[in-house]
Amino acid sequence: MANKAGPQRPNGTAQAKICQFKLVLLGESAVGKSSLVLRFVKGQFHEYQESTIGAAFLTQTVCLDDTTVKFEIWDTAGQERYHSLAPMYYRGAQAAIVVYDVTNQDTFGRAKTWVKELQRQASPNIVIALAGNKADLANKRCVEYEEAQAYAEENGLLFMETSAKTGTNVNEIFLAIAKKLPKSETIGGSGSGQGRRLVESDTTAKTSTSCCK
Amino acid sequence: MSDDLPSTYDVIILGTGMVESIVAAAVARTGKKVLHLDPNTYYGQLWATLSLDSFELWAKTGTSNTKTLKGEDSFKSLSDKALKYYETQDERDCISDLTFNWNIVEDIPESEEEPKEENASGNEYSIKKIRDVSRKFNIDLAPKLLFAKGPMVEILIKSQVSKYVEFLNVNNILIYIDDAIERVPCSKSDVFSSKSVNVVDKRLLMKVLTSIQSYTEESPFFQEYENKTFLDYLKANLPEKFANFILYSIAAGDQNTPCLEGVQKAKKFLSCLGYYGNSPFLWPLYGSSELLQGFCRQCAVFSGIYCLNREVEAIAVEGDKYYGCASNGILLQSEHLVVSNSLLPQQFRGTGPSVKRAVLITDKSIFPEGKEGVSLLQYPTDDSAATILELSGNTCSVPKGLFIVQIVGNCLEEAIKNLFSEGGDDSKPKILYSLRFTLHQMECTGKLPENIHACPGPDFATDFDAEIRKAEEIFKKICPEEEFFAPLPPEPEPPSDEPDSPEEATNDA
Amino acid sequence: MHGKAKVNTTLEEKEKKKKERDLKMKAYRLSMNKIFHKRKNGEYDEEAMELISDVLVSNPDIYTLWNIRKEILLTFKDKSHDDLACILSNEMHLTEICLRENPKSYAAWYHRLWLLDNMPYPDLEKELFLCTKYLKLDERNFHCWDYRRAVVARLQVAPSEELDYTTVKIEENFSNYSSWHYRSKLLPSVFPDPSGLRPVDEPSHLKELELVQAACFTDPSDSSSWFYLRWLLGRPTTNLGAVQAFLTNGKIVCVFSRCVCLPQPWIPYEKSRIIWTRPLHDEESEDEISFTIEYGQGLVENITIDRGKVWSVRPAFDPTVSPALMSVLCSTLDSSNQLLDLEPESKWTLLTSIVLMQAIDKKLYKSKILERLDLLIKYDQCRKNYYNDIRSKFIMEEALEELDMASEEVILSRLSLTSLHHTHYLAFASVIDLSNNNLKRSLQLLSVLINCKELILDANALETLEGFPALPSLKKLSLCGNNLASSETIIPFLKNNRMLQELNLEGNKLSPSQVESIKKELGLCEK
Repeated sequence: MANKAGPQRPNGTAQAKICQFKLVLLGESAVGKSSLVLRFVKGQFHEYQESTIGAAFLTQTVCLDDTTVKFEIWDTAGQERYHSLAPMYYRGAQAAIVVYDVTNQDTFGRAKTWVKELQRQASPNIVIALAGNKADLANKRCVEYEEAQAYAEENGLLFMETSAKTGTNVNEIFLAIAKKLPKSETIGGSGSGQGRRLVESDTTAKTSTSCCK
Repeated sequence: MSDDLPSTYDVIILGTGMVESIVAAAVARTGKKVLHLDPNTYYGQLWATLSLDSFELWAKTGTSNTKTLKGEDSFKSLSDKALKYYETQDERDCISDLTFNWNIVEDIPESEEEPKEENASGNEYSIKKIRDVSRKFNIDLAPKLLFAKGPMVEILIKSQVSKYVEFLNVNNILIYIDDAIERVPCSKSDVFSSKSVNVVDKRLLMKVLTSIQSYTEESPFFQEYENKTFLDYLKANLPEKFANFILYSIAAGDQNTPCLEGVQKAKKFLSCLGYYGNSPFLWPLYGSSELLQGFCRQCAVFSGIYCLNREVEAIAVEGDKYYGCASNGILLQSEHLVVSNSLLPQQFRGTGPSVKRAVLITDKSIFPEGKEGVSLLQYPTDDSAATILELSGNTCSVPKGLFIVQIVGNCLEEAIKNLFSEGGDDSKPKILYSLRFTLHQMECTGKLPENIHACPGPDFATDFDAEIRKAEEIFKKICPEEEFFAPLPPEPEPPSDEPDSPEEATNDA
Repeated sequence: MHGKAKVNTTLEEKEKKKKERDLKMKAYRLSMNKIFHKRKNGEYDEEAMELISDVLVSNPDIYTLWNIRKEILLTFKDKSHDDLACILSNEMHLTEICLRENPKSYAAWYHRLWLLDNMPYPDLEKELFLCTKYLKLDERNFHCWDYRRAVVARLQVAPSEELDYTTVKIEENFSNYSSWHYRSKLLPSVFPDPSGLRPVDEPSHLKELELVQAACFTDPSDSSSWFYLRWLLGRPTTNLGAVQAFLTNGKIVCVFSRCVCLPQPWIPYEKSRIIWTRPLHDEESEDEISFTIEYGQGLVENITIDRGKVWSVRPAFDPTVSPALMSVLCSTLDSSNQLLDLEPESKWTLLTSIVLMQAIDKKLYKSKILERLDLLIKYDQCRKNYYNDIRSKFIMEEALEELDMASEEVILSRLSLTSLHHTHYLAFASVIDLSNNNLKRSLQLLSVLINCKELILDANALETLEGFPALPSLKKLSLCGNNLASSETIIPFLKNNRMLQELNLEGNKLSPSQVESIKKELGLCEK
């Protein structure tokens, strides 16, 4: 995969810096986490979205002025439903979107719990965004915009009301996160940069360091 | 707790140990409906990786608190069918002789902390200070390593669970020999640059390593040692010191290891060098349980349902077939049950071999001249051995400056005595905290219904090879027609805007 | 890509692939045509650049395209500073992409270096960093090593830093000609040897020997470390000086141990610069001549020649070795011998032990040296000639050291020589017997036999006289029992040696008619 990740055409503008970040989604079941991701990554929306996406994670890039921000987006895969989210989920996450459903007060309450959980479990400088989803269902609204915004401000969170269905504020919230992330060149690449990812071994095998060749 | 769990599945998996989790992912990928339960609030059971708080809590919970059984009658109301109920047991029965203690003061009054002497010896640590960073600890109950070209790595890549986990090399392969710790030269470059091996021994060592690596079943070289030990072979070809290097560190054997077995094990070790740096082993950042969490996540991605903190009180059997699980007042039904040995009902569970383990928190590395990271030290004695794994700050398992030491083996007390100090001796790492216990392997002794599949808990091997084998065996019983971790259909790739490359064209031109 | 189902190539797939290939081919031809067309019309513009880079990205080895690019880039010289900087940085990026496609593309590396020299402010530090990164991926990419050396030269990195770098690379993998070679270039400037006898100063020399020995023992079959060891041991050059002086044909002849430069009126004999001659001055008598000869910086020799005699210095091919170095050589030999006990057929070990024994005490080890040379010939047949020549050199050096330099007759027969060495020590001899050897070649080296009147080459393996030099004094040549089968090279030889009076060709494979024509030619000589 790596060698095909095509670099920019050499005669275009000088190549932009690419930074990669792990972003996790949190929130109650059925608030529309997967729908937000699908809208952002594939531009799609399904009224009856299966509860999982069936992939390890999805990736999408956001272009800022001088930097390309590549998001590695992790969905809960339903593990949050019975409070069984593995600690692994939070490892090395540099950004999180905590999602609630503006038509359901309980999900907002749970969102606050997730924020606390993140502050406890995740790395201290994680960028957290709060997304009030299903903003298109204004007539059924139970969580007031001002209430959520006040909470977000208090806790230093980015905040937007979004609609995966109409696409309102979906790209915007990811863009806002991208802007807030620290973009040093040392981060980026895959993962935390502390360890190494496994790759298909025959491509990295170097007989020279092995014993007898 | 809410009881909105659906009631029927293809497979229910009880326990989130390593084998159970691999089976969970493998089975879910084939499209089977999986329910994965664990009585604990955390993943992994005896394979768990815990923060310091959770670890201390785990220790305090103590050993074999034999469950009081409710009696079969209490389940009769769950179904009209004629079911026989077998009550599950507690995994804690695997642990005995558990002791732990802190070797430092509870707290240091604020005033004394002011003179900044960060690099002074360990007596500046206090229990409080360490507990304050509890979350920076990821302490394994059953740490294991991955062979760089072993079956675990292969499955991680094949399944793509590898995307979830990052690794470090085990960068110091050490042995305790002649009252000192020495680095074991494993590869050609090690042998070359090792100052402690003179030139002639370099050649001897390389000759033996090369013969081992080129070993095939027909190798005439080893046939004369067919009924002898590996040590016999090594001693005939090497000075004793280096014979021990290979026997204990490279082949992970002992004095009785037969020659061919030793050769095969050493060959495996050597053939793993060079794939991920100059080390045959990998260690997962944040601890071993990241792996099983990764498999569980994959199971969830394939619609598996996860429910921790959920006990199954009894296993229901209809005739000679498993029927379902009694849990929290309802009966969950499935075609197959995968269950940890440690939770098996008493009719089916027996105690197997045991080994002593210890977990230490120390203030210095056992091998300060080595590279920071993960060290594996073999501690052979005349009649026994201990394997010591030391993790430093960059493993994300322990705060910087402190070390986690994991010791397995029945001579661990001797190893601890010689390698560490409880205070006073500043030349050795000081033990700040220690926990010791005996780990018993549970075995499945009775004849289980054929649609129940029992999974072993942690064994005493360094690697995960046996776990992968067992998981595949169980998978084959549940999905006899399917390939173990068959590759997924390709994800549609984003349209590429690469220019067409006329590379073949030039060859013709 | 991992985790993806392997697609079976059906006939349909193959068809599709072929189509794709044809399309690519077409696109490629089209681009090339366009590029050349543009060039012809002098259209040196952005579009041309883009066309070229598109082709180069997948075919980085097309030299012509890089050259056109350079032409175009040179026309950009008038652009604004910022534009030019941007273009050149893109250009650097292009080579980087090409090198990713083919890390061993001569053309791409060369273009990159050209850019460095044509950029107003090349970021050399970054280039050095890049080299380090590439060499981490493939430490044996000699293109990258070459490029690194070029960058280091421009950046004026201290050789000691680079030396440390090679140490690291060697520790990672010593089977690497490039790093050893680089080391051999760096060491002499970091640790020069004041005595001039060793490649580096003594302490470093000892350390290097230790390092390379470790490599040799770890893997005796890896030639790169042996080459380096040989370089370290390398026979330190023999002391420079005059070795012979005598009179012949009214000229003074002076022979040196190595090439020298002498001022007028000395002239080099046969361009060799080892033998110099000058005519006698009017006031000089042939009975006894004394003269002073100055060769190089402060090197002076006072020579006196008695009538009909030779002034000479006994040849010494091995300069004196300091006790410290001697002890290292001895211990290296010891360990080589131990290594041979373990690996009796290791040719590099055999060869190195021979070099060591020669340096330590060749008289003491004579039989052992010859024995090991025989083993080498046995184990490594394809380098037989090389080993034979080593043996010949060894034997000849020994024979020359034993020789009475004042004697006019030199006998070097029955020594199994396959080649000749140091023949300038025979310059004074008038009768030279080289019979009963295995000489086939290296006849050119006979050209220094300025005084030789009679040359006996009986019972050798000569097949031709090609390259046989003109010898000014040669009167009698015996070539009995060789393998000469044609007069073709003999006639030209005779034309070159008109002094020759006697030529014995018995026992060769010449036909009577050939012998006849040779006789005829020889008849011309006598007159």
